[in-house]
Amino acid sequence: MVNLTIDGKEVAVKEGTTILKAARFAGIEIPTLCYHERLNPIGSCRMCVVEIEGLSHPMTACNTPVTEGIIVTTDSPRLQKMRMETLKLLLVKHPLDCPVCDKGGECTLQNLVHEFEIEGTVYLAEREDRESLYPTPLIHYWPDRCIMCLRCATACREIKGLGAIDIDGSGFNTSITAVNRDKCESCGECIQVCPTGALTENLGEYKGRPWMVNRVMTTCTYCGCGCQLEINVFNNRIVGVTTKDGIGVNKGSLCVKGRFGYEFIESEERLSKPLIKKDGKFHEASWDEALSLVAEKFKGIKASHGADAIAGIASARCTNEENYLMQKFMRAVIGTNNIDHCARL
Amino acid sequence: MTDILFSSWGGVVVDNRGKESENYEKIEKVSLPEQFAQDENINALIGWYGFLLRVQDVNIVDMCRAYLTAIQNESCGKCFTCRIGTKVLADTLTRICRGKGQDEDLEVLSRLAEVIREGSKCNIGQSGPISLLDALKYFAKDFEKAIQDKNPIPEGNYTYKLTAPCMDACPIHLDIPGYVECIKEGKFQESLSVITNKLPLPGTLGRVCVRPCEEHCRRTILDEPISIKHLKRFVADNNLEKNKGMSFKPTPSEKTGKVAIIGAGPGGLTCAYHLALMGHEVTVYERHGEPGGMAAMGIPDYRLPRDILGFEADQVQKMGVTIRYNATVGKDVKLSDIDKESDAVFIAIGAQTNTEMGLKGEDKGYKGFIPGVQYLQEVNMGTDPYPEGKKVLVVGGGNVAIDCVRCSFRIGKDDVNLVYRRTKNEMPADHVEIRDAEEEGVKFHYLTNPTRILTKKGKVIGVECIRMELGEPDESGRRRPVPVEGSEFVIECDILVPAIGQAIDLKLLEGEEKVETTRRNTLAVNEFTMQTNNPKIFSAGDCVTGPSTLIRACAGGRKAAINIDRLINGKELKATYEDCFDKLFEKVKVFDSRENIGFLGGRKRLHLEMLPPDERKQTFDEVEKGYSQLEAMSEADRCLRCYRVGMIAV
Amino acid sequence: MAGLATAFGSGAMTNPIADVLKSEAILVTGSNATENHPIFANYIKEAVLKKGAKLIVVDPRKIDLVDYASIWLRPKPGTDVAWINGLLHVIIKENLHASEYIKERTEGFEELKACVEKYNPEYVSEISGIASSDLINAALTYGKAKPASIMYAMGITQHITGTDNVKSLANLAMLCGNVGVEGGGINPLRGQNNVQGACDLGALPNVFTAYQPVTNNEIKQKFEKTWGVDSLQSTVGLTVTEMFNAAEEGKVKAMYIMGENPLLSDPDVHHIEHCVKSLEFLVVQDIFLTETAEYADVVLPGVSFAEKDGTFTNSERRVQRVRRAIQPRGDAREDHWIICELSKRMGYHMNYGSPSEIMEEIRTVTPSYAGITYERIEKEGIPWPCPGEDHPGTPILHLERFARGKGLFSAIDYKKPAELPDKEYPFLLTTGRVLEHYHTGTMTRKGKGLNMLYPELLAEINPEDAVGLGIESGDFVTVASRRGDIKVKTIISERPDRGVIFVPFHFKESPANILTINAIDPIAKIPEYKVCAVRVEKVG
Repeated sequence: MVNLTIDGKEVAVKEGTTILKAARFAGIEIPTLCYHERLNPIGSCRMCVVEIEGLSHPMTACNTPVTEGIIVTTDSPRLQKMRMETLKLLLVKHPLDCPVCDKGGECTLQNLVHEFEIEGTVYLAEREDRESLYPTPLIHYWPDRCIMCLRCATACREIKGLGAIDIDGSGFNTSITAVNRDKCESCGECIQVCPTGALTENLGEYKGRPWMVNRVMTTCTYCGCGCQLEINVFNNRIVGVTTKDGIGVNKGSLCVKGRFGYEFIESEERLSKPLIKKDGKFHEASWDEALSLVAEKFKGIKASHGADAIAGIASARCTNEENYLMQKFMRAVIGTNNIDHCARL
Repeated sequence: MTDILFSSWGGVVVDNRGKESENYEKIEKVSLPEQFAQDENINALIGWYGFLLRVQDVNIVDMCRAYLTAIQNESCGKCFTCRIGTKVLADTLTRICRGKGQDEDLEVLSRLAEVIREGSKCNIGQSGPISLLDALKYFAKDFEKAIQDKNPIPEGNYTYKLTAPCMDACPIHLDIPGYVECIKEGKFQESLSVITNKLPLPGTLGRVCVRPCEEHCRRTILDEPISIKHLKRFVADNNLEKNKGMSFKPTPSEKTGKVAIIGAGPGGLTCAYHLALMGHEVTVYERHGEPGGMAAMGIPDYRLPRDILGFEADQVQKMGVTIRYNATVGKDVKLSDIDKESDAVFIAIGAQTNTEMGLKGEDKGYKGFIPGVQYLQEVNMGTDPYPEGKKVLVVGGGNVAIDCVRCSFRIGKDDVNLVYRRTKNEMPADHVEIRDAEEEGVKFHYLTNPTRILTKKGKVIGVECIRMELGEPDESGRRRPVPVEGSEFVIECDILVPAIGQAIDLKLLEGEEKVETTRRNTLAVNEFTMQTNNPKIFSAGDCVTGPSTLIRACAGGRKAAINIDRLINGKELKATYEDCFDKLFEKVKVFDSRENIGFLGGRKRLHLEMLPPDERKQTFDEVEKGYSQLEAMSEADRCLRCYRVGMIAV
Repeated sequence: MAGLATAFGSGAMTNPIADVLKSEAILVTGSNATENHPIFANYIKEAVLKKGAKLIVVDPRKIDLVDYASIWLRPKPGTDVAWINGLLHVIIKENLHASEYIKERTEGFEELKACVEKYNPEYVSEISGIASSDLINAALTYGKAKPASIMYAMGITQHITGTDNVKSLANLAMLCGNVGVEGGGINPLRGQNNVQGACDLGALPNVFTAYQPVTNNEIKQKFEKTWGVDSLQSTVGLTVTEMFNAAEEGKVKAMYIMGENPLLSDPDVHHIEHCVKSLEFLVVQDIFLTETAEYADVVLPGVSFAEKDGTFTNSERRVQRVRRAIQPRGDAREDHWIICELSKRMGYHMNYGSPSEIMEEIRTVTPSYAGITYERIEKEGIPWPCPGEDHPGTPILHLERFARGKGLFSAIDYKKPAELPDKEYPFLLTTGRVLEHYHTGTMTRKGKGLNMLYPELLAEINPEDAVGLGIESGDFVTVASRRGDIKVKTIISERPDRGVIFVPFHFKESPANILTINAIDPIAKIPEYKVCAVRVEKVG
């Protein structure tokens, strides 16, 4: 264990712990922008600077491991000034278009600028607008809004192991671009970790603002990974899928199907009424009509050919409760063990 | 005496403005050469520790503008403060220089410069604003005037180069912070490309480089240097394991030609590699049956497994380089014949023979008397040079001597001794190697010098030695060993291996048109172009420098390749601007071990896991295990990324 | 799953996926995880990239994971038992097996040892095409790693020797003492969101919930009592494949299909079509009018996962909540409502106020789910077995002992696939999924997003074969087997080996399952989707 003092509090943490983690452990919040629990510290935002007694240079808390006996100050006029100036610098490029930004209301930059009471753009620089290519049509990249925290590129590399996107250019003119276009899986990990509105989803014509949508946590309907995701609902319509950092086996990640494969739910082709086939053609029917017909038929066949002449196929896409009921129905109501599902396919 | 008008270098301000030149105060921190290149005077220097002005007419505001613009150009964009901050500084300064400055600009400049200096991620941003802050302090009037006058300031003539202490110390100037950063970010292939941009032998140098870079690692000031060598090895090994081969970026030359290279050692291979990248047709003549030169013949497998070197030489061959083995130039082929067939010849024959000790009987061919290079060569070929002998005595204190003793256990010798005339502190061998040899049980006899070879029936039976003591320092700065009269004693041995130095065998030049040599019996070349007095013949490596390091040979090979290409393309051969900067930086010193960094230290380097001494001394298996991926990434994270920009006004 | 059940007594992932982060080596075979289990693949990549684990990929296709692998073995399709036996052979010969573990926790080792004796690397190389040195390298890597885990999926099970393949992998895991340890295990990755749950909850012809056999009288009585019925059937029912055959034979007259589309997903579609047509009465309950529903007499509109409450059990055996986010579209109804209503009309009353009440009943009859309540899984799912409300769940199976007591080694010999390429049908067809689509495409092909990325079927063909066939990427070919033919667009790719064509099965306009063979594994009854012989010809 390593002992240190943070803002007068004595803390003991494991060797190799960063100052940031030690501070959080001690209940002390240090502002961050690029830091993300799942990623190796990036160190791009410089918001987490702290002072260490005896050292002339401030250190970034996110990527500095603690050493024995250090005395850390996380807040001082000098640090406040550095953080404030850094945020002002971001506004050189980042437009104040929050009212029309999808992320408005849940943007870390917006929160920090508000917290530091920065009133507008202070510094100016000559800009060269560059075209930047994103590797997937499902995601929109807004180079101006991008603060180059590099979470997206780091996540693409570290979480997805792909490295489809990376920093390009130098100095002020850097942007995120597709460096390995073919590798992009459109998983949207980059959107998930983006702290601003620099990456937005390209699906759907209508979006609810973050504070207007209802987010319902549920389990993904695709493969067996069982990812936890939030369906974003506005006015009983699905406007997107998000995740919560650290939640579920997916810890906030999703694949292209989980994140963008929700359109089928509101497809025009969805069945909305029971159908009964007459003379080779389907006709809409009421539930009572349809169910009664099925019940009659099953009863008839059971009576004439025995219960084993009826077979049921349950579904790997239905819930546990429904599968339970289905097999109960076949076994207890029809009276047969002819129940199976497509586990083998 | 100095001709410098003003200096803020290293935080020490010397202001000679308004003084008579004979009253100029001396600059202690740095010396600035007069010339950059021929006919190009240096008027000012602006860099990582401040700036120096030599002449009055350099406009300080304009120089700051140029410097901050360069800093912004070199900013990697990976931290907010440097990426945007230096842009705002550069743009503000540009505006002032165009005569459009505003009063509040000065306040903005100093406020932002301070934040960028303290808040940036790496040394570009940390060092970039230092000069501006100095200028704002000591040349405030110049800035105020520029803003008030509203007159555009004519742009001066500047040139700059990006460097880093480690890069500067590396003879081939590998972009060390670059490839280390790639490792930190898990981009191992990219990291390898950064290395192979200059060096085709990453796995080899990653094992046996003497790493001058680590001595200049700024991290040393905080705790310990980062393990640059082991990190290089990691990317090479990682690539080998994933079996991806190496990817090269060919940069074809306009005109290509035929080049012959003599010697497939590190220098020859590096030269061949770069020439092949440029599209030239290369034939290498190698007197041994395998590539590598001294790296293969002189370095035992436990330090550098043969397949590593073999793989890397293969990569060079895959690029189209032909290596003719067992072809000794001067014996099997004549230099003049090669010369006739080629557009250029590169001689990289190394230093393959031993320096004599000057003892009686050295040349008698006693059984058991085996010079170091020959001893290693035979062991490396898999033979025991003298199986009957069991007790070995090696003379010398360099890496060859250490290799000889450590090898001896591995071919089954029981008793292994090393005599060295100075003490352990003066030994030129790698200290890690000395420690390893000690662990393995080598007996070291310091302050001891052989005086007589004892023989019986033509066989070595022992050596008479004399005790030494250290006297006054010699020209190398080391204290000169002086014999203690009457202290002679005998060490019994049946194998005597002198390994006190290597010499160059220039037989291949015999009977050829004159190629100039030096009085040290090395080839004389132009230090920038590697060209000999014969315009078609180039040379580098040990045969030019005298016995030296692998990396220096590689650097020479690369330089030769660049100039051979220029020759073939009919371009003038002269020092490049990079060469000039190298020269300049040698004077200015990129690394200052007394610098106060002000960072938190206490993060020691990760050491490699090693085979235990008793186990390893039995075999030629590689002693050091490489870093795992996690270890490599964590070690790379220690890098401070000390890139810095040096700019001069000419 | 039958293979693992034989070896260990339970047929599910033994370890949670996050465990691979503790593995020194990971063997992935028959699983194109980056496309089929992208999130699990994240873990595998993280284990390699951040934790330094060695990845061994054994796959006939050059899947994306190969890029992360230290070792890639490319066996000929259908030779799994041979190469696994080869690994066993080398590990035993090199004395890398876990002798203590084998002695204390397993049985059948001597028989296994005798059986794999002849599977020396040269012999295995002849059968599988894997170079001896690569096989040895893989064996040493797996054998020396402590712990090492195994991941597999349909590439292992969808063979007539599927059960044998799985048992062989179980042999490998047990041989090195990797079952019942953190970071080890043998993990079948389930392809559909709730296959695990459907199996757990008794949607199988031979067992009630939690794999309680229908043939066991005591168990039968328990269910009779809970369900309030006089007598339940005690004979094993029909599997899906058998049901269709029985329909063709006239033994099965009516079928009730909930949320499945066998007309696209099952092998030899022409045959299934014929079977379905033979039925007297077919009810299909689904959210779309699927290919199968087209043949139905009555179609009942169900709802998607976003419109219902309930639970799914993921591949790791973790029971997790599904929550209603939006109201059902139109007049569609939750599937449990439909079943209850139908049941009522059949004279049996199922009364549940909500899915949580169904779960309450499930708990009473399902030992492994006994401790799982909606309340407990509100925040985080629980992996079964969870026998009581105070039980935390079981992330790792077989920790102290195997579910069946001792782990059972099975001595298995290599058998050839049912249909191999010949002169007439010289190509080998293998089917599977692509990242952007799911199963029969019913869901993924409806929106614009995923179709923007992968709009149409692309059959993968090796560049050398492409030269032989005279085709370029984008050309159409006819793929014909003994059962039928389809026209597909091709993409030239290094992924398939020479002589192999890969066709995804999501596309109804070119249903790959017209071609596949209805040969099934005799125990697990899984069809051999991964190997059959086809002819490939350029169109036009």
